[in-house]
Amino acid sequence: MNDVDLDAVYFAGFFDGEGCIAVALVDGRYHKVRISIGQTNEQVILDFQRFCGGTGTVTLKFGPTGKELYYYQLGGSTQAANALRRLVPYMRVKREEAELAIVLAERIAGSGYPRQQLTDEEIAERRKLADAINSITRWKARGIG
Amino acid sequence: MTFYPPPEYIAGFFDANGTVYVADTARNAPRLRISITTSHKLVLVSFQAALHVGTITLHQRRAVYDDQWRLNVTSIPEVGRFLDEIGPHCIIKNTQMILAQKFIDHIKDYGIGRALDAGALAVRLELAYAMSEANGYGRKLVDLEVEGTPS
Repeated sequence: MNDVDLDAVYFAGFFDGEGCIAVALVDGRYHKVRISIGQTNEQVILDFQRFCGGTGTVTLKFGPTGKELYYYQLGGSTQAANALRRLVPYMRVKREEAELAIVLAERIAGSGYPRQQLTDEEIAERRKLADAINSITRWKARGIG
Repeated sequence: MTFYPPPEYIAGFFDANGTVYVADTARNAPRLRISITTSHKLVLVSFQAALHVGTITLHQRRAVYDDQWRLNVTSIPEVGRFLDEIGPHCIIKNTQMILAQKFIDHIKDYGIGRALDAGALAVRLELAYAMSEANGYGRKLVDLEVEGTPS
């Protein structure tokens, strides 16, 4: 067990339990991978943010009963993929969508910024991956922008 | 092939989706319970196989979303084993795990059930209230025979 990243093992379990992998659709055309997680314990959310490289945002929301909920969102495809790469070896529940999200993020990173002119073929390939992820998570791509 | 998840993984999952609580009963005998609820039954099966604890039940059948399954750990030796193996790796539920260990220690010293004297029962109820507060429910106990188990 010496080579095992114990933070990653713990957070893989934590993310499998509470986390979410989603693909956002920007301007109805460009895909963006993002991960998010919500918890009432602020410290663990801040630790998870550090685990993800210190990027992303933590916001305070209030649940239906008025309980404080700390919500972490990492919206950059590359950063989200980097975090998922560390978690994937230990994930059980969300491994399939995590692996697909990494492939999608690599496509996005490989062609420069998402808003640059993309070919229809490339957009179709990304849409396929996004649909596959969203069909697992049962989310529809949420349009933003 | 059965997958045996490492304790750190189970602790992370338990911190996210689990609960440790003390349920009251009409017989005035507070009972310690651990449960993990998720729609992914297989992950619960793997926890059960790794720790040799609990029973899995269908908790909630849902029309739109996946059914919810629950791993219930109720026997004192099994709760003790869960605390020994998973407790040290928990972060969010660390306080609850410490209280649960005190509860188990108290049971070892004074026994379970209805034969407790008033002093021992008061100590156990105080632990139960502290657990409820740590879970964010204030000083109240779940009535096992009225409300079922908390999610």
